[in-house]
Amino acid sequence: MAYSKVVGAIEIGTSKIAILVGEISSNNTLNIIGHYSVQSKGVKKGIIVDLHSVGEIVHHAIVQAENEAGTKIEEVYLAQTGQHLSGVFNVGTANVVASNGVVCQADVDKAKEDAKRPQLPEGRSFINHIRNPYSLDGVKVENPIHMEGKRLQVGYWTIHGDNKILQDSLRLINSIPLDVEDMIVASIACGNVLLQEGEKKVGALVIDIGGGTTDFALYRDGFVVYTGIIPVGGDHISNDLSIGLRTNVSTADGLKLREGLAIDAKKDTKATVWLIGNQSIGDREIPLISIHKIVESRIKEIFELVREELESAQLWNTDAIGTGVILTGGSSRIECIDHLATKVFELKASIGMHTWDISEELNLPELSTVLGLLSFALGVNEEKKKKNPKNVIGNLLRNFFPASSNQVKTIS
Amino acid sequence: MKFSKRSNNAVSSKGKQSWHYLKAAQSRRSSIFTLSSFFRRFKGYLKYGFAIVSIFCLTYFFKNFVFQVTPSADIENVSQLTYLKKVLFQTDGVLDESWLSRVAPLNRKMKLMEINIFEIKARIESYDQIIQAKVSREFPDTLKINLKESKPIFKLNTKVNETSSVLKLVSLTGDVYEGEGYSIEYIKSLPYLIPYQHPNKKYLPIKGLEVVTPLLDLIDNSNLKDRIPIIAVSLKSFSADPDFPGQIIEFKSSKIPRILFSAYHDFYVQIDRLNHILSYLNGLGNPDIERIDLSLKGSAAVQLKNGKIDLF
Repeated sequence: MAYSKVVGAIEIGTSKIAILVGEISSNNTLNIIGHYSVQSKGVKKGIIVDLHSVGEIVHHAIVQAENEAGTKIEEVYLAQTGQHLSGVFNVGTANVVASNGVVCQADVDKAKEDAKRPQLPEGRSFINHIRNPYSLDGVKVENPIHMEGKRLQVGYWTIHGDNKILQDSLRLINSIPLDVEDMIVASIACGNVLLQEGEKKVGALVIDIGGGTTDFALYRDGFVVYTGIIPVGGDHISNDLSIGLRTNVSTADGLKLREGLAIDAKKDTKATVWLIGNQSIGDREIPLISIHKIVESRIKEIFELVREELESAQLWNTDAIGTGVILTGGSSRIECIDHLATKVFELKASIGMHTWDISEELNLPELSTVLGLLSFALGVNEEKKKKNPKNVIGNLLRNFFPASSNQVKTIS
Repeated sequence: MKFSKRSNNAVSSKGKQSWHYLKAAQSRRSSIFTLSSFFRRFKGYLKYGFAIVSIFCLTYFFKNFVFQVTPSADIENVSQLTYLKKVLFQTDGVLDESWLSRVAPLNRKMKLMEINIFEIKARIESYDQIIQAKVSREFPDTLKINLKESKPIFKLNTKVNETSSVLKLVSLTGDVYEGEGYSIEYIKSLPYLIPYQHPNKKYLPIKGLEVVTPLLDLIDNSNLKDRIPIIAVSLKSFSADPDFPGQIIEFKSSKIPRILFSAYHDFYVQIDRLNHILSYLNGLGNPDIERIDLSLKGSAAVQLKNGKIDLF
C-alpha cells in the first residue's frame, strides 16, 4: 500500500495568513491538495500581538484548508519572520587527526560541532543552522572527506529568535492540536522555491516584501550567507498613501497595486485617477504622479535599508550576486518594482518565478513562502527516508531511476 | 512537471538551545481555545458518535418494524425479569378472590412466565360450578382470569346414606353441583327439584329442564308467584321424551300441594286456566285444594281436600 504524508505549510503574516496542504507520497512526489488564505488580525510587523484573535483566524483557516483537502494535516511546517529574529555566522575548526592527513567523518563532525557551540543569551532559541562551504587549509571544498589537509573549517549561518515570540506561534499550532515539525525563516523558504541550484551558486538576493516586514536572504556559492528582516512592508506603503491622499487604508491598498508605479518611468505628469472617497471628502481626481512618488519613495527606502544592512555586514559585492535580485511577496506585484530594484541595487532584478506546474490561483508571489515550506518538507521527507531506509528495494529502484523523485505531480 | 532537487541546507536546529525544547508551548494548560480547535479536536469522536447513534437507530428500526412479527423472544426476555404483581379476576357469578386463592394460590414471588396457566385453568374448571375459565397473561406483570359460572334454578337434596343428605344445586342445563358463594337467602328462595328416576334407579342425567324453565318463568312473571309460592318441582312423571305419553310437570306450593302441568301442551292456556280456577275458588272463599290438574285435554280438574272434584 502506498505511503503518503499530509503536511501543512503555514505562514502567519501581518496582512494575511496562508495555508497550503500538501500530500507527499511514497515516491516523494508532492500534490497540493488544499489552500486557504485569509486576512490577518492581531499581528504587527510579523509578531503576534493578540494571540486569541490570531488563534481564531489560524484555527479557522486550518480547518478550512483541511476541509478543502478532504483530510487532516499530520504535521506542520511554520514560517518565521519578525524583528526578533537574528543571525550570526559561526566558524568551527577541526585539526585533521589522521597521521596521513586524510579527512574523515569524525573531523567533519568535530568542525560542525565547534561551529554550533556558541551559547545564546537567556530567552533565545536556535531556529535554523545553515551550513556554508567547507574550507580545507583555506581552500573552499564541497565535500572534504578523503581529501588531504591539516585544518578543516566550516561556517554556519545560525538564526535564532526570542523564546516568547516563538512559543506564541508554537502554542497557536499546538492548540488545534497539531505538531510543528519544523520552523523555517520566511526568506529562506522563498529562496528554496524560487531559486535553482545554479542561481544559488552564482549568488542571489531574495527579497520577500510582505505586509508588515521585508525578509531577505543572500545566497553565495549555493549557500545562505545572510538573512535579515526590515520592519517595513507593503502595509506601510498603503498607510502612507492613505495619509497622503486622505483616504482609508483598504482604498489605498487597492490604489497601490492598481496604479502604484514604483518608478517614475512614465513621465505623463498630467495623468490623473479618480478616487472614490467617503461622504466627507467625496469623489475626487488625484494626479497619478503623486501616487507614484509616494510608492516609489517607500519602496526605495525598503531597498536602501536592505542594501545598507548588507553593506554593514560587509557582504555587499555585486560581483558575487550573479543571479541578481529576486523579488517576491504581495507587494512585488507593484508595477515596475523590479526597475526600481535594479536602480537601487545596481543589479539585475526580476520577479520570482518558480518552475512548479500549479494552477494560476496558487501561482502568486504572496504564496512563495508557503510553497517554499512545502518544498522544504519534501526535502526533509527525502532525507528522513535516506536515514531510515526501511524499503530497501524501493530505495534501490529510486537510485536507478532518480527522475521519479522530487516531483510535483498534480497541483490543484 | 519535474521538480529539480534542491539542497536543504537550512536544517532545523536540534541542539540544546533549539526551539524544539520550548516545552511551555506544548503544555495543555497554555493552549488557546477556539471553536475551530474544539470542533477539529472532536470531529473524530463525532464520527464514532454518529456511528453508535446509527447503530441504535437501525437496531430500533429492525426491532420495531422489521421483526415485529416474532415478538416471542421479547416476551420471554421481559417475563424472565417480571414478577406477578396483579391478578385481574372477573366472573359472571358469585365466586370471589378468596375462592380463587384457595383453588389456585398465586403470589408476588412468582414470575409471570413461570405460572402454568393451563394448570390453573384445569384446577378452576374441575369445579362443577364453573362452566368455563379463561386464564391469560397480560404483560408485563398481570394475570387475567375470567370465569363463566353455572346459574342454579333448583336445589336438590341428595341422599348420602339412609340418615343424611346433602343439598346440591341444579343448573339450567341440568348439571348438579355443590354450590359455593351463594347466600343462604338465595338458596332458600330456590325451589326443590324432585328429579325423574331413570329405569336404572338413578336420577342423573337430569333432562328436560329447558322445558321446565319457561314454565317456571311464566309463573314467576305473573301474579301467580304470590298466590301459589312454588316450593318444589317434581319431574317424577317427566322423562323429557316427547314420544312418551302423559308427560307431567308437577309443581308443589305451600297453598296447593299439587299442580300438574302437561309438559307438551300450551303453557299459556294452562296458566290461563289456573288463573281462572284460582279466581273462581277465591269467589268460593278459597277452599283447601288438594290438586289442580291442568294436563287434561280441553279441561282442568280440581280436587278439594274434602274429596270433591270439579272440572273446569
